[in-house]
Amino acid sequence: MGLLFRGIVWFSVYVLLVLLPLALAMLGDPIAAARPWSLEFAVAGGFIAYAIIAFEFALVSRLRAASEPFGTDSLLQFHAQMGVAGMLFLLLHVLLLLPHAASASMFNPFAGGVAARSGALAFWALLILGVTSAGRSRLRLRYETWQWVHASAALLVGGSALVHILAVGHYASRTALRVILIVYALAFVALLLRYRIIRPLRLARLPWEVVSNTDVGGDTRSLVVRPVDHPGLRFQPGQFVWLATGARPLTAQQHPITIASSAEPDEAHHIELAIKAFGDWSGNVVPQLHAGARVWLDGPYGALTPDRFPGQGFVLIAGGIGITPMLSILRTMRDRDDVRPVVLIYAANRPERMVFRDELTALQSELNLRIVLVYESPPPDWRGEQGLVTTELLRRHLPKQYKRFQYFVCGPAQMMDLLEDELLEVGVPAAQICTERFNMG
Amino acid sequence: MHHTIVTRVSIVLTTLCLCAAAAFAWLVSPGAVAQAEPTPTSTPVASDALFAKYCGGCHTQEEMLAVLRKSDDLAANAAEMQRFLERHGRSSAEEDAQIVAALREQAARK
Repeated sequence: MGLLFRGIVWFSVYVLLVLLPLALAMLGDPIAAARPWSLEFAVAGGFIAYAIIAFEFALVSRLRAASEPFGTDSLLQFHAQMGVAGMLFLLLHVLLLLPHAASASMFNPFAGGVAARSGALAFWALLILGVTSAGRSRLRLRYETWQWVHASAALLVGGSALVHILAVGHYASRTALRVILIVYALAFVALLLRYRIIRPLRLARLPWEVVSNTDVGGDTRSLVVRPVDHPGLRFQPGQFVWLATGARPLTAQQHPITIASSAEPDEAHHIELAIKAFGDWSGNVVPQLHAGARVWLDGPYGALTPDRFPGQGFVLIAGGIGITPMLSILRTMRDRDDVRPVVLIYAANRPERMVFRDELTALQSELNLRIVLVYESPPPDWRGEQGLVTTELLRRHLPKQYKRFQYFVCGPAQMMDLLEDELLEVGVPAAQICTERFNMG
Repeated sequence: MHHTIVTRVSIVLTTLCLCAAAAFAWLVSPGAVAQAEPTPTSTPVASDALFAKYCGGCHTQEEMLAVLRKSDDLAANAAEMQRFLERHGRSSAEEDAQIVAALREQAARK
C-alpha cells in the first residue's frame, strides 16, 4: 500500500475517532426535553476535547505503521497543534457552561459532587499541561522534568475527564457511548504501557556498546556504537534513532539523534551518531559515555531520506548539526556508487562551528557533489557566501534542472520555516521539499 | 512534510470539529436556537429555591417530572433520580432528598 494512501487512511481513522463520541451521543431517542443550544454546544465541545486528548498520545507513541506516512516531526507538530485545539474545545465547554452553572465553584476541584470535582481537576490539569508546554523555555524546565510533568498531567486530564463525563451521565448514560469512552481510555493506557514498559523491556534485550566518543569540534561529539549480541539495525540514510542512556531502558533518558553513518552497513554494524551539546543531557551526560558504556537505540524513525523520496538529483540544505542526516545521505551515496548530482548548502555561524568539513570536502571527489558553505559571521578573508540562505543565494547555486530535484532541509526550526517558504518562492514544488525538525515541547 | 501543510490540516480539522459541535447542538435541541439564556423554572413547588439553585440552570421542572413519570414505578424512578443527583450535582444529600421529594409529590398529584 503506497505511503500516501496509508497516510489518508490513518488520517481518516483519526478524524472518525475524534467525532465518534459526538455521533453516538446524537443517535437514539432524546434523553430529555430540549435544552438551550449553548448548553448542547458546550457538551459537544466537551466530547470533542475528550476525544482529541485521548488520542494525543497515539500521535507520539512511535507507532511505526502510523508514523511512516507522515514523518515523526510532522506528527509532533500535529500533536502540539491538536493539543491546542483540545484545550480550546475544553475552554469552550467551560465558558459556555458558566451561565448555566450554580456558581464559579465549578472550578474548585475540592468542592461539589464527583462530576464537578473531576471536571475541575481535568480543567486545571490541562491548563498546567498547556502552560508548561508552551512556556518550557521561559520556565527553564529541563527536558526530562518537562516530559515527566507532561505525561503526568496528560494522565490526570484523561482520567479526570472520563470520570467527569461518566459522572455527569446524560448522553453518557447510553451504553454505546459509555463503552466507546472507556475504550478510548483503555487504548490510551495500552499505548502508554507499550511505550513505557513493553518497548523498553524489548530494548533491554538489544543493547549497544560505545566504541568511541570523540570531540569533532563545534561542541559536537561523534559517538560510535556497536550492537551487543544482535545483528544491529537496518536504516535508511537520513533517519534517526532515540538514543537511551542510563542504567536500564526503563528509566533511561531518551533523545532523538540522527544517524550519521552510511546506510550500507560495515562488517561490524557500527553506527555513528553526532550529538551537539544543547542542554544537560547532551552537554553533560553524553561526554561522559566512555568506551564500553551501554546504551540503547530505538528506531529507526524518520522520513527525511532519499530512499523514500527519490529524485533525479538532490539539494541538501543543512544548518549547524543538521548536517548529520546529510552526511549519512552522502556517505550512503558514496557506498552505493550513486552518481546523481547533489548540491549541499551548509550554513553555520562561523567556520569553527562546522563539523565534518574535511570529510565533506573529500566526498566532493568521490561523488557528483558541489558544496556551498555559508557563514553568518565569516572570517575577514572569506570570499564565499555569507549571511543567511536566501532566495538570491538559492538562485545563484541551484542547478539548471532544480525543479526536478528532491530537497532535504535540516537545521534550526526558524531556518527551516524560512527555507520552506523560500524554496516555494523560487519554484520548487512543495511535494519535493522534505524537512525534519525536533522541537520538543 | 511541509510545516504549513500540517498547520493547515490542523486548522481545517479544528474547524470541522467546531462545525460538528454546532450541528450536534442544532440537531439535538430543535427550536432551542432562539433560546439564548437558560429558562428559569415557573411552576411553584415546595423546594423551588433548591431546584432553581442546583437544577434550574440546565433543566425545567416539566422535564424532571417527565423523567419521574417514565414508568408506573414512581418510587423506583425517584430513587434513580436521587442517585443521579448525588453523582451529578453540587447539592448535599439532604438537599437532593428535598428536591426529589418535592418533585415526587407533584408527579403523584397530576
